[in-house]
Formats: sequence, structure tokens, C-alpha cells
Amino acid sequence: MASELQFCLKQWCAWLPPEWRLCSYHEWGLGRLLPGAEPDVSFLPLMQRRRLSPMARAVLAVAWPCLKGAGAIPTVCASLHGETHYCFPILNTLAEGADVSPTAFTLSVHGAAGALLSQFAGNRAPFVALAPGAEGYSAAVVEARGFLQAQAHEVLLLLYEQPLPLPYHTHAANPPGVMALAMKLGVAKDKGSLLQVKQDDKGEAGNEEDTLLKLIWALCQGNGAVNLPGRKSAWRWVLTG
Amino acid sequence: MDSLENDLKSLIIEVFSLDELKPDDIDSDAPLFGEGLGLDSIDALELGLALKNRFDIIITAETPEVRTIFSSVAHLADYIRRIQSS
Repeated sequence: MASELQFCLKQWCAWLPPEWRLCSYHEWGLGRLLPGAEPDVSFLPLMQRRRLSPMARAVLAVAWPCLKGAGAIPTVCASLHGETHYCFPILNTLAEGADVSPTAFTLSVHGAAGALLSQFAGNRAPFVALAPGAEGYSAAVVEARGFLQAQAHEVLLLLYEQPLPLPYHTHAANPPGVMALAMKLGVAKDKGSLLQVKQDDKGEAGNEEDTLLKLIWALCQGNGAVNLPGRKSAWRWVLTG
Repeated sequence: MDSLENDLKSLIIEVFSLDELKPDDIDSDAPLFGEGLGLDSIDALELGLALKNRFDIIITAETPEVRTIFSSVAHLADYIRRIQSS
């Protein structure tokens, strides 16, 4: 049976490398695509931002505006591959029999960016970090719905990717650049834009390549709908209002 | 400036990604952890690894007076000199 989840999209913020900002109109509803050559995390003290990877910098930059004034808000983080640029060198270090950097180890875990966000923002609400796998980011919205179902007033959904280390390129779709998207979601009856995520029986399943890029482009351009194929099902994200 | 202290400051900047600082910005006598430079417990482990790789000196939580050794660049330099001369 096909599934459909509905949310109120209250605010969004995204980061794409300049070369992937194909849309000229960068705002739709309560959101924006951040400008600049690099994600700006100057709002953090040096001792906090020094450890952030390029992807974590993008995550913090897009999440910060959505957390402003939100209080404690549950967070769902989803990345297909996570901090592979920390994980892969650690594997090489272990293969060489050398000592692993403690800092690299702490930053290599899948939820590192979300954990740093919680710590720096003082957000003590729960967060989960997903490697969403077969159904792509649609698995993350199921988690977001779960928080709302459990009486959370709002939930912050964070989707982020970065290019994979070269040895993985023949094994998985390679994201074309560092990218991140934050969406502050509420229940569908709240004031804001309507986001529907539908399992599409007629759509074609596919791989996860470029799905986050397509979603950010859709938000930038205010498109009505975008198809995000999972490996088993097709999902249709529809934006209204 | 003491060249070993200067080397240690450059190492700290490199290892802890403090690219916005110069060696002269770090006070040799200021605390490295907590107040002062503001390093934390993960940094202590990382500094131990960096000292092993750079000076072949092993400092662990069991090393006598480890808190004093890690308390400032000046104390760290003193300890390295003592080990290298013994």
C-alpha cells in the first residue's frame, strides 16, 4: 500500500558549492540558499569551528538559522555515507599499523555533525543520525514524523553529503560536492508551506545519485514536486503554498 | 623566543587546526587546557600522539606530573628538554 506523510515546512536553509547553484532565484517560502564560496560558520568561536570538516561546516551553517529562536527541537540527521573523509584515512592508518588520531576518530562517527550542532547550540532535545540506505531520505522523514507523533512541536531535518574518497567511486553514487539542507518541520495543520512525501507506485526506483541536489534545486526554484527514487520504491516530494 | 617553545606552538597550531593563530599569539606560560588556550580532553590525547610522532616521547595519563607537564608550553618544553638530556 502506498504511503504519504504530510508536514508543514516552516523554514529551510541550504548550502551548495557555487558551481552547483544553477537557479537564479534562491528563495522559496521561508528559506534560502546560502551565498559565498565556503559555508560561513564565523558565528562559532574558533575553538568550536576548528574541528569542523567541510561537510560539518555546511551542516552547522544551514542548521543555525533554523534553530534560532526554536528552543529545544528534536533533530533527524541523514547522510548516505557520513564522514567518509575521516573514516577512510583511519582505515589506512590502521592498515599501516600506526596510531589513530583521537580527534579524527571522534569526528568519524556518522552523527558527528549533528552531535557538534547539539553541543554548540545547547540543544538538549533528542537527535538521531541515519544512514538512510535503500529508501534514501524518505526514511528520514519517517523518523521526523515519529518525533512529531510523539508530541514534538517541531523537528529539524538535516540532510547532508560530500564527495566520497576515490576508492569508493566504483561502489557507490558519488555526491558531486559538499551539500547540506536543513528543514524545520511541523505538523501539516501548522502555518507554513505544505510538504507531502508520497510513495509513488507508478514511479521508477533508482539509485540515490544526486537526490539531495535535486531536492535543494526544487526548493530553490519553488517547483511543485520532485521525484526522489529509493532503491526499492519511488518517492515524490510535493511542495505547496 | 625559545626555539623549542616556538616549535611546540607551531605544532599546537598545526595539530589543532588553529590556522587563525600565530605562534606569538600563544603565551608560553598560559594554561593550555580549560582557561587560557581552551584545549579539551580529546586535545590532550591528540597532543600526546603528536609529541610521540614529533619527539618520540610518550606521555600518557599515567606519566608522573602529567598535569604539570601539559599545563603550559613552557612546562612542556622543560619536560622535553629533561627527557632528551637524560
